[in-house]
Amino acid sequence: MLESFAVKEILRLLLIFVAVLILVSTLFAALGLLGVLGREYAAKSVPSLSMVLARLPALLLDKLPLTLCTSLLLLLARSGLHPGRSLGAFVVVTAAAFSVLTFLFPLLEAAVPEGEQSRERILSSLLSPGYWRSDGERAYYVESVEEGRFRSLLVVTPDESRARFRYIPAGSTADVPGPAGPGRAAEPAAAFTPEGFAAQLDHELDLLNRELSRASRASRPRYLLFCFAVVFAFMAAIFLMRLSRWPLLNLFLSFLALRCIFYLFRLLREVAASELESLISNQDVMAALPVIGLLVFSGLLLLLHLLFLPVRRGFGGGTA
Amino acid sequence: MNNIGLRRVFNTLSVLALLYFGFFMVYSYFSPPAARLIAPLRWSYIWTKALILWVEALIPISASAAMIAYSLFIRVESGALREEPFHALVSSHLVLFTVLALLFTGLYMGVLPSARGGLERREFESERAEFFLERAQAAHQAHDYAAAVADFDRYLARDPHNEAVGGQREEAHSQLLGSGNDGGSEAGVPEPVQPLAASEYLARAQDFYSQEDYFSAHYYAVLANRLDSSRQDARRLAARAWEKIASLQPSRDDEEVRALFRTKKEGYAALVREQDSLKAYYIFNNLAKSYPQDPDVARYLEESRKQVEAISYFLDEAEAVEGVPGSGRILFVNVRQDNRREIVYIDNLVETEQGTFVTGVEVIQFEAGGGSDLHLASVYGKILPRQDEQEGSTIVLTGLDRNDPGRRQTPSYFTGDPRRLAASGRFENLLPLNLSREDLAVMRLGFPAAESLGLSALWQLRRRCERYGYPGAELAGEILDRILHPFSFLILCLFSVSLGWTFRVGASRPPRLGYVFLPFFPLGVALLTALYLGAQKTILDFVLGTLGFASALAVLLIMQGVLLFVALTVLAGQRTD
Repeated sequence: MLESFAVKEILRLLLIFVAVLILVSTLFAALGLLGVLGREYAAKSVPSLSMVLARLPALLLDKLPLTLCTSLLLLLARSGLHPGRSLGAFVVVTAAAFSVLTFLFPLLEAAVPEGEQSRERILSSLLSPGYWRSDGERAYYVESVEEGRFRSLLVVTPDESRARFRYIPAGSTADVPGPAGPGRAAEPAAAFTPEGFAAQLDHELDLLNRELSRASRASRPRYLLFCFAVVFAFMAAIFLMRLSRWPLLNLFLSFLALRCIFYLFRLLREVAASELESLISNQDVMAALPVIGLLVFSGLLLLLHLLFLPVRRGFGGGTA
Repeated sequence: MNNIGLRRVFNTLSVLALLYFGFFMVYSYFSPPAARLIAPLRWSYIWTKALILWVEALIPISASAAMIAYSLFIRVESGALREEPFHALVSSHLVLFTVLALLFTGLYMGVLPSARGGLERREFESERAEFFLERAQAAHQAHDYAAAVADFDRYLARDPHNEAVGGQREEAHSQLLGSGNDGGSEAGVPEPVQPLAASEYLARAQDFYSQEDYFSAHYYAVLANRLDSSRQDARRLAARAWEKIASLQPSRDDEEVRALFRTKKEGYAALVREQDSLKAYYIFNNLAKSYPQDPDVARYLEESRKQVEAISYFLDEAEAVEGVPGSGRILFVNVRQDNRREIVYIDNLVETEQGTFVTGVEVIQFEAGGGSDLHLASVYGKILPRQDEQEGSTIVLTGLDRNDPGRRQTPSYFTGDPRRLAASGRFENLLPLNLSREDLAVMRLGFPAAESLGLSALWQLRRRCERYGYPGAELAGEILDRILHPFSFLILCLFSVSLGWTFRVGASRPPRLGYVFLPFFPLGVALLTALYLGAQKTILDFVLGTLGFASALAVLLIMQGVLLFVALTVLAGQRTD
């Protein structure tokens, strides 16, 4: 009887997790698609449905780690699941999160079309007839654009000391002097760039995705270890939901810890890596630095959890 | 619970708001620009910067305060109150949040843009003051005392109580007096001629004729005739005066006086008869060096200088603005009557006592799909008001040396023959700008001035900026953003009340260590606020791009209505037991 209840609970949790995951992914993807469409319309180009749908895997991929941790936070904050209450359900949810990251990431990566962010695409969005567009370094003005061909393009390079204007009467986007490759600077409409905290988070997500991609290309064990470290860190952060008698504080600390995981990753990749390069000559250790960092951070969170958590306290900070 | 609770909510908000204002004051004090600002601007800069950061952070601060207060300090202890629905218990709190939202609207829409403008002005003025001080010290070391005193004065106008710089200025001034070069005397220069009616010019001409001042009589008669060509009396008087000038002979047999008279006559003829103001200017400028007290020389030098300055600028004035901080990277489509496109770029625009100067000017003209037949660059230019009473101004692109007729600065033509263009009347180194002086300073790449404009200025500029090649959508986005924030303040505060109540501490005592984390709550909420605003902005930008501003505004209002309804429903659904 007890076993069947546990199985039922596990299945129910698994279903809720999948539903939440789909809901959160849909929300992020819908916002992402609206952003893409907004950019296209702002650039006065009418995007085709196939072009818009082709962006979908990239959008899902960009936000996959954030989708996963948001879904876990939403699920575990309300369900009250923790290892002490139902170890089986907890292990299944953790395994499900691990599987999602392990299998979905390469699938989505493979589904992103080649050259999806090609220079031509960025340039064509920079050419908006009758309006100035800027990529940060240059400004572009064009009279008209039709099927990749333009009439009267003026490229302005303010940092040039002489002849800042370059006028091209007619041609194709391939003739346009522009950014060397895709990047944030190429965003045509500043209105679409998230600011402050959100921009930092975007950058950190990008770094995490690149690391996942690197690990998946390097070796299968390294990739699996990295995925495990990420999911383990998420779960350790969410454990803080049971830390004290004050649920709001628990929620805040849990949220802060999740935020710190992304920040820690940036710290390890951008700051510590360059500092440690001179000290650590072994490339394998350097490559494993993010995994080590995540595991140490997760260990510290668990230690904190064990130090402060009275054994009988319920999940969600219930009364002691 | 109502009264006690309200006070607790208000106290939590006040403490958190004051704490963050203090933090932003400290941050602004230690952040890089404040330390290098000149003393009179430093504290107002720190204060303004702290205020800007504080207003920008008010949503997460207020939402955190609501969350903390309802989670930690508000309790329903009595049995009777437990029977009451939650919304009835917090009804007065809703009034508080509505009043706070109105205050926030005033701060966000009224105070914030002007504070941003003020911050930029203070930074700019301080930068300019430092520039003038460095230049003054360099000029002082190079023994150019007149330039040093002028630049010290410019610095002291911004920092009048700086005794060290005042001392340096006095030293330079005494050295200037000792050198005997006081920068040129203005004695003998007549007051500028005020515009009068033709009959008044003629009356003046007749007075001068009767006083046997035939140069002045001729000058005023010609002016009267130019104003009213039908006046035969003016023409006749001018002819009589010119005959007298022609017949005049110096009373003394003095070669110098004869030479002066001949040269004055030559200069006068150039100015009035040949209408060659440039030739007249150099003639009278030379004469003024030898005869500074001669009233005719002073008057016609002034008159010719004014005419020269309507078509050119003096190089010494333009060279003095090199490196002076100003409005940079101005780029716009200069609207023309014909079907040609004209694009103008200005690297820097500087306001000085002598006028508005520009550096790094580049102009190109082309026809859609065709080649360009005019592309030029000019090191300097000077902006003058339009002579034809239309809105806009003119950039004069010919620079002259004040004393040396052989030294000139004209634009470099990458495309187009300047002589041919001048002969055909298409371009004579005068660039008419079809936008107001105010718009010119705003048309900078990336619209950096937009965030310091008020809502009504943004609203008006949104339509006009399309003419100059800037999409109105960017400014429309800024307008929507300004409207979105006050709504978000209220809605996020209401959601925070529900969240705080849901995750309340209950009957048990909260951990003491937890209080340490209270000041950090706004940091977490700031990220959620950014995501909440970012998601709405994405939707609004999409509607703006596809359906236009009116639809985006309607969607914004509907969206806020729905979110407010949801926030109130969630609030009403809270349990008190």
